[in-house]
Amino acid sequence: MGFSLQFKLENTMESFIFYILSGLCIASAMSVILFRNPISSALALVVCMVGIAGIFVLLDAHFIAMIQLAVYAGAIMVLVLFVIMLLNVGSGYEIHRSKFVWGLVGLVILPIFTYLFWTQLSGISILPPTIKDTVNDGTVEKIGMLLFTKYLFAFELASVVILSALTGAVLIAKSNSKHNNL
Amino acid sequence: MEYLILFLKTAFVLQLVILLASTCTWFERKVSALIQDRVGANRAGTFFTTKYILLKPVFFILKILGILGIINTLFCDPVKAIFKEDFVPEGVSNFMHSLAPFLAVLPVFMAFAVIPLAPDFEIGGYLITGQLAQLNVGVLFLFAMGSLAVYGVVIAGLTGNNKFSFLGGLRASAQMISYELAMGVCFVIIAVTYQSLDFHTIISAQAGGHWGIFSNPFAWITMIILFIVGMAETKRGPFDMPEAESELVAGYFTEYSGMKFLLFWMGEFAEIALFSLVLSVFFFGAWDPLLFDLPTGTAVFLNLGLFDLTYGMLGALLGHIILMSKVMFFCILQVTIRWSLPRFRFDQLMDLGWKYLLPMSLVNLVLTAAWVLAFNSN
Repeated sequence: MGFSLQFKLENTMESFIFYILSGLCIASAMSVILFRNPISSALALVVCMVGIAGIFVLLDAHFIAMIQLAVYAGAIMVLVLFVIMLLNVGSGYEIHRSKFVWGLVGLVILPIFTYLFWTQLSGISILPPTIKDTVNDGTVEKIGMLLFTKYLFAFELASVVILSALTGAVLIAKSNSKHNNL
Repeated sequence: MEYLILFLKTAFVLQLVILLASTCTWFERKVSALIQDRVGANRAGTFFTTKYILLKPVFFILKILGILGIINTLFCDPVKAIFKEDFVPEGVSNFMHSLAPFLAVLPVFMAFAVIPLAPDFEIGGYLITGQLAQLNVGVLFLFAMGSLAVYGVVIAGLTGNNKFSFLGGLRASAQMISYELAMGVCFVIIAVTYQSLDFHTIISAQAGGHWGIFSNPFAWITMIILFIVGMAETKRGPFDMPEAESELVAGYFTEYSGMKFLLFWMGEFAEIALFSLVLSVFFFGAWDPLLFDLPTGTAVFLNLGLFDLTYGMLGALLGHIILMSKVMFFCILQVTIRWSLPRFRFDQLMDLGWKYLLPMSLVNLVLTAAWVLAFNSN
């Protein structure tokens, strides 16, 4: 976090916890791509999600923190693990890679991303006052009011998208079972 | 001083969870024995009978009450489990194998942190809240912990490195994910009924005999759905396909021994206690005794020399005992159901979850919302 990200950290305890959590997030996010075993990667991603939920708690956004835990760390990552279990992608799964080529690719990509991060992120305060004001004290009630008044259209649109995904999943599962004559 | 209070409260909640889990194990042994016309655990080792003169009264009281067997589950079993040989199957990482039992108990223990266990009281000018962490999204926290509990069984199933644990893990995770939906809808119904996600508000709304179960005519249905879902989430009762001993040896914890096995066991029983606690908090007024009011206030009830026992502290103590007796009642009920009913088939379990409980709870949500809108809204 070497950028000029402006966090509102009142005391040292809070910033101490923040650095622990963000360190945990970064380390686990790195582990996701560094682990060879897909199950370890998925678990590292879970740790990352839990760390992000902790940062949300530090920002007084309790509702979003709980949703982060229940939806991302809970539901989505469990499904990922479930798929890994069902496909039985064991630890033997490994891409044959030439270290030289991938190192070269890394060397090209690294400066591009560094440049992007410096230019895009340096000016941004990660805590715009609007989020703080709307989310902080009311949490659930305020978010509910906002969802059903100001952001009603986006909310309904999201539910339509999820419904279409649900229908699609049922359709795919149905056609498969007919094919297999089960 | 605040940190000391926090530390003591944490220690209290931890010991309570472990005590509840052990007591549930004992209930399980006794109830199964009663149902199968046996005597059950009824004696303890010589340690309590011969040597220590100080322990003799404890032994005497337990023997008079006829609950001497509880010593086994409280002390002997953990000691035995700790000193047992720890076995890790070949071809699995030791770390992952050890991680699974911790992931199975951690969410359950954490869920206890948000549930109030006694009324608030004051001691020496410090206000002691009955819960460890007062979140205004307490019910959501409970739900999040419920969804995190799946990891323990999934990883246990994967790291067993045999087909029995793998099948057990698959069954357990599918079952827990399926019943989570109905559980989530039930929690939404709770939020609609009390118009809050804070346990403190939920309980104070039920004070003075206005228990949640009487709040609207559909609360009974919600209670029964949540009870069934709770039994399925704890993977017990007629829902114990994940550890079906006649087909899968022991399911996802087939390859676990010693303390790791005991952690799974403890997590399961702590979950039973957790669901009993949740039921009593949501529907049965938590510590509300229904017939009379708990004493409150800071007036001195009894001077104990070291400190004064105020009416508020007496109320907290009484309330805690009342809440725990409700929890015990539901624990015994769950154990009785587990030993009375035969096991479902797995497709029946899925049917029950997806085709009956989920639509029923959704309809119930609409009905409860309509009732609250018509009669209870202010």
